[in-house]
Amino acid sequence: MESSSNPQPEVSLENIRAAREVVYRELKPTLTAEYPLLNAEIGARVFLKHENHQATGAFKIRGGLNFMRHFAQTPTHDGVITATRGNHGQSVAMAAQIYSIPATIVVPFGNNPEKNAAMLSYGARLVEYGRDFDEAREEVERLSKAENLRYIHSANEPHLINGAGTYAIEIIEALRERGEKADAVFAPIGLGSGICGVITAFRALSPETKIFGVQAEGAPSVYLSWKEGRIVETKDAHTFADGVATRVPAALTFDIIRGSDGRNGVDEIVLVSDSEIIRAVRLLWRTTHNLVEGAGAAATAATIKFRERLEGQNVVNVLSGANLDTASITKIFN
Amino acid sequence: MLTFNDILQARERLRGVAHRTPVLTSKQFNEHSACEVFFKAENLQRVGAFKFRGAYNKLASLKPDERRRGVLAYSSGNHAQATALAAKLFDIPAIIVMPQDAPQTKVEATRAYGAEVIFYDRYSQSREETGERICRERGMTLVPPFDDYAIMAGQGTAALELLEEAPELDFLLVPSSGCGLLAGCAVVAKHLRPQIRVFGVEPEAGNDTWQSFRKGERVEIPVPKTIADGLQVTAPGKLTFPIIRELIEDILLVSDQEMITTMRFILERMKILVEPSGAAGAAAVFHRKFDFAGKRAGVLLSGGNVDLSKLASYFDTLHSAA
Repeated sequence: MESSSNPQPEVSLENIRAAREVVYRELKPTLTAEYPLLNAEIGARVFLKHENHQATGAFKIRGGLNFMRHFAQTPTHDGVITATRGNHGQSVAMAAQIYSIPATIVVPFGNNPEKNAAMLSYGARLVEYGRDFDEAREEVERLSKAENLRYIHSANEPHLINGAGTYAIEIIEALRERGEKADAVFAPIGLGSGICGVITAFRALSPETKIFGVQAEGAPSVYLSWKEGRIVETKDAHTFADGVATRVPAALTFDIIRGSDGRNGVDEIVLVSDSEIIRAVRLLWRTTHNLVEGAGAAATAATIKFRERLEGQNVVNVLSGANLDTASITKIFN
Repeated sequence: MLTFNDILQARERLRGVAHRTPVLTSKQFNEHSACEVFFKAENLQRVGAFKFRGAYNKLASLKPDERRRGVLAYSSGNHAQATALAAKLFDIPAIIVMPQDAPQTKVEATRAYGAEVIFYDRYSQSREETGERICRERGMTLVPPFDDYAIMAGQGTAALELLEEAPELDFLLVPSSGCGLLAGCAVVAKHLRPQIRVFGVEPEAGNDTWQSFRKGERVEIPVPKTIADGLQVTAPGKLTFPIIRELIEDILLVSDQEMITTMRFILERMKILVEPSGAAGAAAVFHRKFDFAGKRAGVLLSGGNVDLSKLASYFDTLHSAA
């Protein structure tokens, strides 16, 4: 499946900067904002990075665009393919359409019809296969060989990480414009493409900022791997926050999260429970009028948890996405 | 008079204070409406609605000694929180006059911004009299919800930002109640792009502006029964009406059902939550209330303050009616 003949590019500040030019052809920087009611609630200055306002409702599109731009310049295959249930698929579909690259998305049967409709609307071919994500992945393997398609993993792709890193630079710049620096930044970890962009940009431009990754208690594979210093898979992933419901850490992002080659990774990984995440979704709604998905509220959940340690500090929360389905909204707010 | 320059001035005052909200597009919405739509997502504005722009601009335009004495507004909706937050940012006192039966969540949200809430009995007291009396006693300035040039100028900055990002619009659709947003946006749009056609959109049940527009003078209607609680005004403003009468194409009407279907589509497909009144402009395009086919339409999504515990019941209504 990994048959790209192009050498893997580096994850680096330089490549994040190059990715910005690609991203800004299609997108505008998102807002970084603080809210008096939230600040009062936390007892710190909390700057929200509004990737929930992003096109497709999540930060992933930044990486998708960066990937497709490079693929379009030097196509190694006849198209691209991925397996997904969520935001990654929409990102791939939209970005592929912009660069006129044929895209195939494999989803398990019974996948959320709202998400399927979104991927179809970007002109992707949608293939339903298997009972779950892992079975869908088998079909990806078969199709990618049979049709010469480039498989796009949702995290083991430097272009995706460099693309995600563009939001981290926006955070640093937005705080600098206000004459501020971040003492701490909290970002959710699913497979890690987002936080690796944060690590790369902040280590280079704001090295004193503490970086906290956040995972769900019911899906702690990256946390466990980080603790043990080796990749640990979990049997299952139990959390309603599907953006962080992953079982198998990705090798590339794990190396960056752990910190290797003499570079620092995250300072800490925090686990939050579903009820803490739900509380954070409600708090964000009440104090900022933003409705975010579970993964999007995970950073704030961890911030609430660490409130005492963070007192009076400048804290960034990455609201990674907005894609909450109607059933979850009803559940959370009733 | 409301001029384009007033709106440029408002934009300077709002810089770094109000959010520059994103302009969103949706392939799926375009397909359904056969039109290319650019949404100005004011549901993502501070306090969840465009109202913050006008309220803050009003406070910023007061003389310092006037402002120091504080401000008063009557509202149980978005204008209350907008005024309360703006006052907090200027660190001045604010009183919000609300009916006794205002929802507790709205009362708490307003108090959270540090405003004092004073209640009146909507059956035996006039909120205007209550408000004016307090203003006299305390030397406070009234912040009207729409019928004020500083308010309109603030609201107009939303259209200014939209047209900067999507300059070649054929149409602009704006939810309309007291017409403050509509008037401000119309002035901007017609200045920057004279050929643009601007529509106000009202609920069928609360068609005061539609009637007024046809009659050529302000028509007052009884308090309308509509799910669009942001659009329950009984007449367009004295100052706003002459502006829109001159500048807009027409008022379009949408039903409660049409607003809810649109709100649901936007939530499910675009993943953003707008309140029913906030979706009125989008509903007019979605349900093709005019021949927008093949053209480019700007749509103001005016607010997103939904009582989320009611969300399911909105959509249940839809199912049982469908």
